[in-house]
Amino acid sequence: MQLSISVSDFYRSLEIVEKALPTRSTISFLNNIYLELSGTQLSFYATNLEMEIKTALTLAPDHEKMDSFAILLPQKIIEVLRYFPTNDAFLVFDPQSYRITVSGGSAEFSLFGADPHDYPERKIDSDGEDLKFQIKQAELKKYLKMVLFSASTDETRPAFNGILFEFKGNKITLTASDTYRLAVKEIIKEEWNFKEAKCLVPARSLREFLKILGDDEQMITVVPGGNKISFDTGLVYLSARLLQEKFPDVSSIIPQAFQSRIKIDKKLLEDTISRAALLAEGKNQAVQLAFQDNALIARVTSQQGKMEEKLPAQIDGENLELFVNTKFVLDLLKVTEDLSMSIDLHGHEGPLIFMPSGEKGYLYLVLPIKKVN
Amino acid sequence: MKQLQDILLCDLDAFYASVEQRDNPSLKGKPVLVGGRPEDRGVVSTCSYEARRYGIHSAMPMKRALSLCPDAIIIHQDMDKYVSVSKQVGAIFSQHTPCIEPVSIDEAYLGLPSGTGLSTANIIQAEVSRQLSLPLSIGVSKNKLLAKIACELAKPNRVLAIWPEDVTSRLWPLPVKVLPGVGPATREILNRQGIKTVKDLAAVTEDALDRLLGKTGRTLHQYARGIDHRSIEKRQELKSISEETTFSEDITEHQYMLSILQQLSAGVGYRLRGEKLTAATITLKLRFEDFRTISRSKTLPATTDSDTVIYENARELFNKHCQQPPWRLAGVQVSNLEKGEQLSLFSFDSNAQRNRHLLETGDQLRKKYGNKVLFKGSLLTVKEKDL
Repeated sequence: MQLSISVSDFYRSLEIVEKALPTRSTISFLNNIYLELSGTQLSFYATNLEMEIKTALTLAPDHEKMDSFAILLPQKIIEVLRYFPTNDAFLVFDPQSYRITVSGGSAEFSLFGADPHDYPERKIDSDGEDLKFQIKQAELKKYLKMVLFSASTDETRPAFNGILFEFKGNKITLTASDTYRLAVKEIIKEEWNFKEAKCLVPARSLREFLKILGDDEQMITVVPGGNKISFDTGLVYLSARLLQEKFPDVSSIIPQAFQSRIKIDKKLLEDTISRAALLAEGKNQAVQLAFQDNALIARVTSQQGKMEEKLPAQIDGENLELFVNTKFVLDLLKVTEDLSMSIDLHGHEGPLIFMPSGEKGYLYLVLPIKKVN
Repeated sequence: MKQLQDILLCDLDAFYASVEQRDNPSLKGKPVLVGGRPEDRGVVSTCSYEARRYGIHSAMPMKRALSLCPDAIIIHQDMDKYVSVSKQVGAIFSQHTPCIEPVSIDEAYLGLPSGTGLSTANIIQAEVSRQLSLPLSIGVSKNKLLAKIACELAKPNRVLAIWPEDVTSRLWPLPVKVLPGVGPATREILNRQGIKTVKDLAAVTEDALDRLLGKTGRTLHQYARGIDHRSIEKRQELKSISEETTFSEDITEHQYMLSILQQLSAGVGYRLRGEKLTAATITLKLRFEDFRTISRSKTLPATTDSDTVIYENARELFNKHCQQPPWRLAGVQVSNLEKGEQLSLFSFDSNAQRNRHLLETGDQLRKKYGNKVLFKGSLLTVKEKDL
């Protein structure tokens, strides 16, 4: 079997499905990429059993006469193509020995592939049509980014490793939390009409998915259903197995009335907290925030020294002092582009609720640090 | 470098009594005795300057103090209050220098860049007076000895510097008892040799003093010249807290080990809360029959001070790494210590509140009645000598 390919096209497809390769799997053939030629369609597929990604290349029509075939490509081929000397390469697959020869210019590589017959069934389908929806890629990417950083990476409480998708009428609510903070985004589209349902999507899969998603206006089709959720851009298909854990009801945790409401310039706040973070230390990365007399004063005292910075803020309500993790605050400030930010406060041990002014239906709740000295 | 820095000795005047007089204006200008009850054979911890005029001093039995000044007002001491005020004073110190050696609840040495000692001392004294309304005396010099003596001479509520060049004029005329290490016995020995003042002492050779007083003599020889090489020793920040136990006989039973780990975790948690700290890392230490020792750690996503969380993680580590019995020693350590606790969405639910209340009550009981007053039922199976 011989193929003449564009190195960059082939490499890009591999790079997409690579996101679904397991970090280390005891099932050795899962560490490979499944490559299949059928007609002029060259499809790429990888899975870690938690998520799967599929993409395809359409070859020039003169490949039509070729027989269909499948092979498992070793991960190494991705690196080989990254450093390949020429723009086009010539690939030869040996269906008996599963050897792959990549040649071009002065270079020739011979790599060991594997038998595709042991590979798990690649079932690209999804039921649950009633929750199927479409949304612009750039939009979905933005919303996912605004909640994903809040999901936990600690695996002792698996429910918090997921993003909760809640469907109701014309609204989808995304919720993520690591128990110390909580991000909620409501997306409303007139054309939607969902029955009430929810599913918990592993944040790890979505983080990989974000790397693939484009910033364009193209629509993406999302189908949640059964025990998985799939995303289809037309070029890339990704599906992730849903988490079966129960995400706790957080609606009661979000306070309705605030004690003080702060309006503050987002850029000034981001710069100040970034500087405070230079001296913040330990697990808590604490900064003291004092809201008083239309100013916000950030202070850090640590073993390395201390800092203080004052910036203007419009304060409606009581003056207040509290401690908060600088990283938690910066996580939000880094992903929002809004120019101003409002913060609701609920006492020195109650949550801070951040609301970027331009983002309707979004809130980011952070619990403070209780100081014990 | 070290020799060049300025050293301050800050001493809160009649600390306990000053705090009481500050908080209760009716006590101002009156002889106040802080300490135990006279009927309980209590002694005076601190007395106000007004009381000192009657010849009362600290450590004097209350009964005797009252016979000297029957009008004195006795206040029962409130250590929690003094500790918290002492921390407020410490916070003022730490705004001026990171180099602090606390000596006692009312006394601390501070190290400052050379040339800034006197001006900083004046600022600190004014700040303590303005912010906390407490009298503070500060001795300023180049070493601990002279700073201490300057402080004694400064009292009450003043700042005084004695520099090395002032030794002959300021230190030499003083009686030998001003030097640290010269108690009544040493003073008696020196006086018998006709050594009454520091100047007299400075005239004696080092060898002669060594024959007279031994090692102390050599130190005093230096002190008499205003020389003191002791440096400021910053209090070490606590890095970890651990408890471990070597068993009376090697242990083979898994469940028995878990009971021991639970008790060790409770001990660590109790000390952690006592220090008002929380910890992110939990380490299990195990020693096997053949003295092979392992430690295995786990770092949590947020810090904790809960016995249960410490134990659950120690147990997880044990189940993972226990290998084959018999075990000879077990230890639980917490590190990555933090001064605050990151609150979570669940910190306020009734279960968490109840557990918190339970821990606090348990801590109070332990503080009052000792470590054995409260323990888990599973501990009944554990031999006392294994703990």
